[in-house]
Amino acid sequence: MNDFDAVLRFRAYCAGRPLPVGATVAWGRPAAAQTLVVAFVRMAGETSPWAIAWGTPDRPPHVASVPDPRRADDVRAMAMRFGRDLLRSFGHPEHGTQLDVAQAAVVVPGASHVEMFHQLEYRYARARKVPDAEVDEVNTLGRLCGWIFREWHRPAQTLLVDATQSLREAWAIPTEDLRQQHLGFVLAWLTTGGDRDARSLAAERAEADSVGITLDPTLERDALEPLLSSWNTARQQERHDAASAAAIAGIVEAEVRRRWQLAVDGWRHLQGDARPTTPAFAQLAALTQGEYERQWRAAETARTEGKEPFVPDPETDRLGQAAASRFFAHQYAAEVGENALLHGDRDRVARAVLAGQALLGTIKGVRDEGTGRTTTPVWTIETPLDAPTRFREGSKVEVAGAQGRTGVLRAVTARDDVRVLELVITGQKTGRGAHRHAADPSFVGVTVAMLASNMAELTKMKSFRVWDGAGAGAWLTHGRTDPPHDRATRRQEDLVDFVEGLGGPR
Amino acid sequence: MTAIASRQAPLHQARRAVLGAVLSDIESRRPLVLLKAPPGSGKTHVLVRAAALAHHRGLRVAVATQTNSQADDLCRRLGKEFPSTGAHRFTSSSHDPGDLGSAVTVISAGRDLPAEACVVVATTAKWASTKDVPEFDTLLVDEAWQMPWSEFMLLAPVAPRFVLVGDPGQIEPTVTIPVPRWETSERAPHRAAPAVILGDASIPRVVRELPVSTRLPHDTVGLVRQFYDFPFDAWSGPGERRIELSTTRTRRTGVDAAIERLGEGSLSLLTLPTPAEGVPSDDRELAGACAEVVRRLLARRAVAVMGDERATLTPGDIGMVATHRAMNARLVEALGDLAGPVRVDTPERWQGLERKVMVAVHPLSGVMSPTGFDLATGRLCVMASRHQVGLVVVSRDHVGDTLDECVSVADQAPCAEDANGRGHALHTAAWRCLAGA
Repeated sequence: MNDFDAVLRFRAYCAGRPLPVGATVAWGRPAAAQTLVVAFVRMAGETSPWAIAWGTPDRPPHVASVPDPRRADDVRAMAMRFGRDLLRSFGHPEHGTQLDVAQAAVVVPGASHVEMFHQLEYRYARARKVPDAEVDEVNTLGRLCGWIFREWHRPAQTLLVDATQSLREAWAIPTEDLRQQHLGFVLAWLTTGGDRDARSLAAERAEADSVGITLDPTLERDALEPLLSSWNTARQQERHDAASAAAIAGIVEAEVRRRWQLAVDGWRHLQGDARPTTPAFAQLAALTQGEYERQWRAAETARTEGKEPFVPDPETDRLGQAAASRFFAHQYAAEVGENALLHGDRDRVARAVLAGQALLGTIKGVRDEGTGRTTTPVWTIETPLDAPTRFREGSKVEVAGAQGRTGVLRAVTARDDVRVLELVITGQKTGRGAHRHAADPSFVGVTVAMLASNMAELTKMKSFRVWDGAGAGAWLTHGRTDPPHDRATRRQEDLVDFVEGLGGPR
Repeated sequence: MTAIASRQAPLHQARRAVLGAVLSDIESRRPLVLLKAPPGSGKTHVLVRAAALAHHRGLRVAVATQTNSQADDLCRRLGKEFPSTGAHRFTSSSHDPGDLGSAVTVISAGRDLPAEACVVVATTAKWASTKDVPEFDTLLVDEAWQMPWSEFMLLAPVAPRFVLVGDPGQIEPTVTIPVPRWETSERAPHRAAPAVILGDASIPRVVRELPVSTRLPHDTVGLVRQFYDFPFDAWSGPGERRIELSTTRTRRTGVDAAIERLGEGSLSLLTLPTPAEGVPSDDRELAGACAEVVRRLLARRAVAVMGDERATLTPGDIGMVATHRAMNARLVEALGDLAGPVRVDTPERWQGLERKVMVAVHPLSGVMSPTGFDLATGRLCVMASRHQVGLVVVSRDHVGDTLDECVSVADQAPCAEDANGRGHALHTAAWRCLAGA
């Protein structure tokens, strides 16, 4: 937590209510019909879901469960009910039309629910021990769950929403970080009326109900275990214990429905936020659209055409090129996301300044060092000497709020209690649209925030180039061919003395 | 032969043997050589000689560094020590390398790269972004442990043979995004390139280790050695390096006592009481104590003794290091006019640099619940290995208790090293060493 966050949380404590973080929200406000809310519950120690709830937030959810989540066939049947709707929502070529990512969202209550997508990928993406007629559909669901899980980890993606995390990013809540991982707790703080004590009490009550994918241990031990035991005993005797099955369903479906409803409440709170959507959202949604099309839908389309595209391993990218390429792609997204979000939001800039990731200063002088038709605007900027910064001579920076106006810090000197910077403007020198010419004298006296100029386009280029394994060194870097041979003959001279002789007289 | 000379003779022989072996590897064109170098052990010395020999044998040599300043320094050294090599500095036109000397040619376009035997120095980023690089015979990589595997992959077109030189105890490559997806990948893109190579037994390579640190005082090597998986020794013997103070103290303060300890050994710990209400991340009182250490060293006309060499300390001989930028800003503020001559920076920026005396803010000072980031050993190793004569570590006094009470979480990926546990053990050992110094 940096100073900005600490101060804001303290102010929230004094105010007795959550306070907004940032002047904008990174939330596209998708229509209810384009939003899929999903929640899971599972048995402690098991990886398969026990119950799933899914649906749009404007209607009651579909809810499915199994009596015993250790029965793989039952779980598969339940997962496929959910899976068909999921594939349709995501616009699988055989199930629906392509998704417009900027207008859509998949909302889960919290991070543990995202992990369940990974478990479904592990279980189904390469499953073979299922009836022949189901293999394709099961594998298709597994591949989609795998993509959802991987995409969720890509910085600045806009499609997949962890309701708890999104609310925490949008609001400063005056309590410990650990407790804020509970969606019910966070929502109680945000939606309860009254003073701090009233909100705190409501949050404490909400906290008593578990919201992760694991059920409350007491509930599982005292209520579910006897029913499960009875159901399994009957099954071993080749009887169907309908009463126990119904009782189990009643409990686990109520639990999963409650989690689903919390996610819907979170969605409603985000939808109702009065702050505008960050101008960067369209750029980030376009990036997400590209990932969706290239990393998942294109492969699924190819499969419908009889091809067999590569299926990523659920655990990791085993091929070095694939790992490096995805690493660069994620790095690119992070670089684009960080800067794009800062440009549209003064509060975020203030936060970056306190973290030393941006530098605030006042322009004290503007001159043009260009000759003839060449223009080289140079700004002299003063900043407080004690402001933390990572900028040094040679650092490339971008002016906050003027995306594309970049420059290089030619000199950084200290004088009394100020740091004096000489910024040579290299991008958008002559101005564009609403921006003035960088050599315009009216800039004197203006306060500017400088952000680290990212190398996003270079990083993007790397994500493609790293696939090129044709170089002479690819035997090592890309595991291609054998290494070159040593030279057979070796000289016997003392090489250390020989090399020192190459330096000539000292 | 003096006692010092007789002690250093085998060290000299051991160092010469490693240099000879690396040159022999160049001569016989080994496909892959890794040279592990402890702090201040002369890796640049080896690198420039390897480049000079390869060039003399008619080879085209590419050298990749991790920063422009490293590339510029390497070129200056090549130009000075081996002027006939005629090194080329390959850099973008926007970078001003300064005066590299008459023996070095600066080029900025790929089409200007020489076609004949040559030594061309550029950053990894420059090599990676240049299209159609004419193939070289050998690629020498400086500070290779700072280079992630993903960046190294982009160097495939440069050359078929590699010599990777670096310090395995230093800070791992900076990662700015979550990487759990690749933690178990055999070719993890975020890991240091040499670490990936060493983790894959199927890759044929030769590993060499430089055996002596010339920079570090004798007792500091005892502290720093535990960060490495290979042995090395100190060039200086016990007591050969120390700080002598020209004036006696007029008042009894902790700061004076701390700098006086540098007369007996190279390590000194100065602790301040930990306030009951906790410590802010930019601890002004601690910053003030650090600045006072510098002022008292200068006021008492401290002399740095390095064997036969004696020099009165100037502000330029002293450096300061803290892990957080906010704390560095407080240090600059506390130094006042001395900021500038006394360099203040993060461990990341101190890599490759040295001073006679360093003042370090302990990385766990003020950290009551250490995380994996805090327990990472690279920063501590860098902070403890920049000085030639003396190191004063300044800290709040809770660190020993914090480490005793800390239960490190083994959250590493399956089959990966328990980095948190290792970090906890090394931090504890280092603190005990400092506290006992």
